[in-house]
Amino acid sequence: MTVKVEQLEFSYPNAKILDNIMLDVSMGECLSIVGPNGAGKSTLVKCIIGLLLPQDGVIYIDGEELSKMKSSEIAKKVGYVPQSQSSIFPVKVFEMVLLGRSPHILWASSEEDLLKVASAIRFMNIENLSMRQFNELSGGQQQKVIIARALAQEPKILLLDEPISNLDIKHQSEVMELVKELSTEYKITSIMVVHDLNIASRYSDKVAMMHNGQIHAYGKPEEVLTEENISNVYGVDVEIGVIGGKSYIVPLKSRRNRAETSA
Amino acid sequence: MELNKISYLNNGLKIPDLPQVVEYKKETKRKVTFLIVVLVAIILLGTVVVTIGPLEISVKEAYQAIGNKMFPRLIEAPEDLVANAVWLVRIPRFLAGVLIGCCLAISGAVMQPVLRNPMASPFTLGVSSGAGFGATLTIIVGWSIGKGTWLVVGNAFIFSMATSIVILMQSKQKSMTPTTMILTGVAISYFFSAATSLLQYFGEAMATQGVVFWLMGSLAKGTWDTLKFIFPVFLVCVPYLTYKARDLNLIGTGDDTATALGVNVKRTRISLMIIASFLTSAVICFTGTIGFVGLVAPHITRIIIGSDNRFVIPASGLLGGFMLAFSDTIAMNIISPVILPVGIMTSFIGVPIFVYLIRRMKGGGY
Repeated sequence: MTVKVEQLEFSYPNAKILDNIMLDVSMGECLSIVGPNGAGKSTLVKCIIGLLLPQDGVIYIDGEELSKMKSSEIAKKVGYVPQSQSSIFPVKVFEMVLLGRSPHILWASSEEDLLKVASAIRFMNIENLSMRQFNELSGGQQQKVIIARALAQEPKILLLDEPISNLDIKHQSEVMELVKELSTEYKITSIMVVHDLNIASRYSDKVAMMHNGQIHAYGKPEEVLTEENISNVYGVDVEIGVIGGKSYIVPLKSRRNRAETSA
Repeated sequence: MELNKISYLNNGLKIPDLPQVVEYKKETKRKVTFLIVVLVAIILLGTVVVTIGPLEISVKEAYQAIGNKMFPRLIEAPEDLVANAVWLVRIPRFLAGVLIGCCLAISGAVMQPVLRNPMASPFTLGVSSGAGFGATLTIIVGWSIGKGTWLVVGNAFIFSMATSIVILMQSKQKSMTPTTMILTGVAISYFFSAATSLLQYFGEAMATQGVVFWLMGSLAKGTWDTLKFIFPVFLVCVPYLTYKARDLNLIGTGDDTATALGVNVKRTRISLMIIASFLTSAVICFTGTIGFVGLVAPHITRIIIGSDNRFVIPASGLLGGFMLAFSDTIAMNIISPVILPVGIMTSFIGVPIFVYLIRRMKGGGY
């Protein structure tokens, strides 16, 4: 399924967060949204899932206008993995993943639903956690549970808001490999917010670099993640090398530090 | 398109292969067992309750009275005093205890996830303080919307509903979150408590005592007439709330998650709160403030069977019903013929059990 964003604008009463955002993500593509803190990345994702209503602009999910879709319809097509998730009441992992089936069921869960939940759990390789309390798990494990929940939803589009920021490098690459597998093998379109530019470079088909609510650069990772762009947007000098055909970014110095040392 | 009809969830697995599914089903069975156990406990309690009370009635006479009402041709009626004590006092009072405990516990079970706060109860939206003020207004000033038997009850009901409606209207404000709703509810409760105290301060001694008695809560109005009013309310509200359990599960994990999974959070939250407040108002206008069951029964239930609301709602309803009816039995008989207010007894019995369960609870819950 495709996602298209046209001239999107979003503001809170006293601050403009998103300005003239244009995106075009084709089926099975993996798009990373990068940018400094406060650039509007999460807000953009929340607009695409319909959690926030933009003041202007149109979002198309598979050619259909998002604002004209019911939330239950959106939920059948788009899965969302929030930055963090908590539950004040005790919930077991299996039940948490089962919540992902909600858009498809009315009240009772069928054998098929349970099977799908178990498969999603297996896909995320967290079978051993199935009967544990969600709140007892580590941040990384919780993240995997939440992704499993989004998979149980059987979405055609997956929106992930910093899916790996809580994870150690082993889990980071595990999760990214899975997201990649979903997009290449199963043609699931994925849009994710990431902070790690190397992850963005290595795993995504396209990168959108955001700055002050606008898209500063948009295209293939090697076109977007250039020394010049990173320097302009983040204010950090970097050196870019190539390993195995993918760009790797090594930060050198933040410009503010340099200014301080030279002063 | 057929390919991405999620082959990753259909990798040739069969149910017997999956220990997770087996375990989940086992858990589900445990939940159902809990429901049945509590239901049986209520029935057993009922069979005992009809035989005990301030009036000396033998077990045989008690059952003779019930049998006669059910099969008047087969079973001979006992003397009138006995028949009335059993059929017009003990049975309706027991049934009212079960039903009222059930309603309070269910509205607590709904309020807690709806507001995502374990301290929420049926009274979070100021329902009880509104009812208390309404009752006080009638008892002390003599002013009421209702007439006859509805004199105090009607006023308590109207004022409690009015209070929660005022609070719910606030929630239309954009800035309203579950936390600000609770704060508003607490603040308005203080306002009505103050108004109640003011009336008591100027009230006559007798009337003031009446208010105190009302505020303590009792099942003295547990009659067939009361049941005729409460039961239909129960029949309308409880199936609706149980039906909404899945949405409630989602709201409990966060508004964003719930919205992303297709729930219209705002509308669902308001409608659930209206129904839960209505359910509470409808019962406490007869009993006075007995709120503890509504706070605690859902928690005890969650400690035992987890927090899937499809089970928590019916199970905490049954548990609340059992707790209230049991407490009332103790309250009526412990220093017979003095009948203690049931509100006092519920807390005396419920709190130690609750604290014990919290202490031995395994982590990961709250």
